[in-house]
Amino acid sequence: MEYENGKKEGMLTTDDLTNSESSEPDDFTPRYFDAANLTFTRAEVGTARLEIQDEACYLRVVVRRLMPLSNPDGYISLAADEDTEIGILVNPAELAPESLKILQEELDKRYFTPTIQKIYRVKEQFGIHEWEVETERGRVKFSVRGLNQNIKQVPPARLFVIDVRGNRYDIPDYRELDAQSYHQIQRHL
Amino acid sequence: MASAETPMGTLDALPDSLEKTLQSLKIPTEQIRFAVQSDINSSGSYGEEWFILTDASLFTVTGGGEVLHYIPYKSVLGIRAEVVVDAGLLVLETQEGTVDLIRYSNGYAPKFGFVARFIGDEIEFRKGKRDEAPIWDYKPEDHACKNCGLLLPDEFSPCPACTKKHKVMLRILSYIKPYKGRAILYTVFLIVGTLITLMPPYFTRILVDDILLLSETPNAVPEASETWLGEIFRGIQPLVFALSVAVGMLLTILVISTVFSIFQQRLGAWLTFRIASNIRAHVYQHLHNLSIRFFDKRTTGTVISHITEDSERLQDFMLEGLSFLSVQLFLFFGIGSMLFLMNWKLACFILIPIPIIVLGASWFWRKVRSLWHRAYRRRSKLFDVVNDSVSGIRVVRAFGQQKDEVNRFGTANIDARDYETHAEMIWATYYPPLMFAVQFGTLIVWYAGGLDVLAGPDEMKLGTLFAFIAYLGMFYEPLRYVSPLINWASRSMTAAERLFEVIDSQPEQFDDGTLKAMPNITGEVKFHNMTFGYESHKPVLKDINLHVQPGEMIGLVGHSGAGKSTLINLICRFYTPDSGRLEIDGEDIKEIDLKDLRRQIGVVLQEPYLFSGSIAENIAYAHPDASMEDIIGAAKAANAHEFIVKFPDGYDTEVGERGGSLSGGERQRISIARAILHNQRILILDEATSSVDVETEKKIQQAIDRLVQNRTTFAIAHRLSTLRNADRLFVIEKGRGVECGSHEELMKKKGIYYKLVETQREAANIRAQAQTVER
Repeated sequence: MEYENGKKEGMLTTDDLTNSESSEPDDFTPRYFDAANLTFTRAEVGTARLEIQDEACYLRVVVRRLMPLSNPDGYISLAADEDTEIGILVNPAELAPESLKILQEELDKRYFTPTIQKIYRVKEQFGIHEWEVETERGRVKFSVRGLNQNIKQVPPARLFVIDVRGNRYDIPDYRELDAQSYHQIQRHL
Repeated sequence: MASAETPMGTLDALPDSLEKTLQSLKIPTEQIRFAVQSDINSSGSYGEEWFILTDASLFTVTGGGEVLHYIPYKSVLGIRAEVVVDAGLLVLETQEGTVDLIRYSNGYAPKFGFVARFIGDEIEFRKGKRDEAPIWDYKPEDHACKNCGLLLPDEFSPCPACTKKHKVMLRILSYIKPYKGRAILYTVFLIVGTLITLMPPYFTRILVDDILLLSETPNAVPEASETWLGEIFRGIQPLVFALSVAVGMLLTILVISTVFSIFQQRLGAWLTFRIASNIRAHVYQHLHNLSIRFFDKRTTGTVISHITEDSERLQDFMLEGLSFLSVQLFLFFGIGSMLFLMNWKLACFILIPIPIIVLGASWFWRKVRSLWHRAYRRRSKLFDVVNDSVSGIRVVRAFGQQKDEVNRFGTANIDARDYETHAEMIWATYYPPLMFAVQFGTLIVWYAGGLDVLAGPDEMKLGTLFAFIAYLGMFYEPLRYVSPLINWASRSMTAAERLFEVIDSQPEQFDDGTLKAMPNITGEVKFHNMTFGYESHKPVLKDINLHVQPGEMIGLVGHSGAGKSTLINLICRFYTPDSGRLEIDGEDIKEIDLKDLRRQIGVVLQEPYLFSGSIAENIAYAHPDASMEDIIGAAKAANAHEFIVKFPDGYDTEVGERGGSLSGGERQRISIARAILHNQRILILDEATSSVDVETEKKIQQAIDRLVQNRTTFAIAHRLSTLRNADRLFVIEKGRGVECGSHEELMKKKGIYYKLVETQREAANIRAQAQTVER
């Protein structure tokens, strides 16, 4: 199949690369990509495929944010699989629009963390707080145990709420919430 | 078909809306093996999506019935549940490429993890790579209360909704049982003591009304009586006599109440500390019987705070809070009825400010508490900053960061200052008005009562008013503290609940009479298709097969995180396999009496844990009756004797907290001596030589060589040279046993082990070169 072959090709190239680089003294220098050389496309089966111009093609590229909290839109690590990084893309905004769209879809797939936009209600019962909130992924209800342990604050005002099932919800700046939501936070913190 | 032998299972009930889709795909419902619902749709929003497995295909459907993926079973090469940030992804490897099948939030991860494992096993089974069909034994990992469905932190926790607060109280009281007599005595003291404190104002009334006020109306003075008392006090003014009697009574009351108070408090302390220490002992004893999993799910801090803080909180409350609460409650009703008895009209007035006081006080305490809590958090953050920079003081100096650290402290300090000021200022603003409300009640009584007194003694006497006012103070007192007291009580009840949570947690092993006593095992260990994960949807070890003969030494080899330590944890039975079997001497490890098993397993760890005590005591740990000869013999075999004799205190040397006064190599050899003395059949060496220099390593290696003789040994070592004596090496790669054989066999095979050895050799060469250059 085309994909199998393509994959092998890609793997070979990486192997060659690592081999040629391992003898170099600066094996530990990170590789930064020029956005102009990168093209992301959607493979037929739905996975994201990365083509590095004149070099290699990766069938299911793994994308990761290096600074998911402080700079989610920049410094994206691109990897051939979970363990093998190909390089780093500093500013994805420079990609061609279609490529950028696919990259963003892939990032969205890997970073699920919903952002809380509005808090409808926080109700406490036996140390479990039932939250009902609006996120960019839709309205959701969840339960949080022991608010002190399960709300992590990142200074100055970012909050992460962790529910009983291990899901994490992001409040990027609680001071910017609407009055009702802010009141709910204030009341329970 | 092979799959027909595997039991069918439906994870989630399929909604009717999907039936049309199934019809259009020409799939009869009987063909569905299982359907699993997800909570995230393919565009990443919350929504329903389904993953369905039939005998012939896998497919995903939206909640509306639209088919997203349809993949024939036979084109599937592999399946895995991938963990992404705060969600999961079921990924399929097919002949056409990799397919991201369905997304789900973390709550669904265990379910999909199981699905992936099940399908993966079945694919291997169909290919004939596995001789057993996978078993459908999915158990939801949600720990909901069986009574009310409330989510619980883990399988060990009791349901807070179903353990009512008063039940907790009853349970605490059940610890009083052994001291029933004293407890009754205590209650009697409490009641009588309270009654006595109610008396002084009453005597004040008599003093004022019947004695002091009478002096103003001399005609009303009664003659001194002709009784024997009168004889004695003849010549003394009768009023002065009456006064002395009344004051004498007051004095007597004071003395009695003091004596009562002494006895009551002594008894209270005696009872409280006994109850608290009994609960603590019970918790601690139970803690040692709990499964290691219990500890995995909690930080060391939480467990320690269970035993120390929670029991302390409970104790404080019982010592002070409980008696305060009961006294105040008793006083409230006692005085209340007293007031109504004395003058019911006036008593009605005192009720006026009560709602204001109660509501105001509870609002006030709630407000102040949250402010204090916030201030407290800022303060502890301040301490964190100090702790951080003081413990890292060398690093701070080395990087010249003093100024920044001071600034960091300054910011936190000002933050703490502002919050604390705010909290105190709120207190300062609202507490006086609260006091005002209390005093306002007194004012009403002064005015209304004063009017009555002015109206004449028929309405009310001055002394009655005095007594009334005095009682009033006592009456309002508890009201002010209602809210913090209730709070205190409920916090203590929660602390008690947490303590009982430990007590109620399931112990590691129940002996229902089926456990096999195995006092003398030979040390044969057998893994059969064993799979295990700390969370069952993320297997750490997969399908491990290994048969170890008694006395054999097995070196466990693999990258860090491959699962070597997990394998050892399973042999120690800190955990039980999720599927497959682990046998010792042909018996399933689950069936073996833990006491027997653990007694025959010896462990030498990388960071040996020495308890505070002497070296001799540490070597003889778990063998208190070992003779001095045994201890010296073990120390000698462990190459420990030579350095022990050099210590001024010899075998009596205190090793202190965590053996701080000894070097790593010395501690290691003591722990080996301990293992030698223990003489177990199965021995585990977990990186026993990795934290010492080469010279010491040699000594330890010698000691280990003596130790492993005739014992089944499992050794983990990063330095592969340490494993040169191993009979066989078992190579683990990403949780699977990939190679097994002697050093020579594996080197010939040129597989993973070969690569590892080569890498280490290279590294050693580099080190050697570097050393030559240095010289």
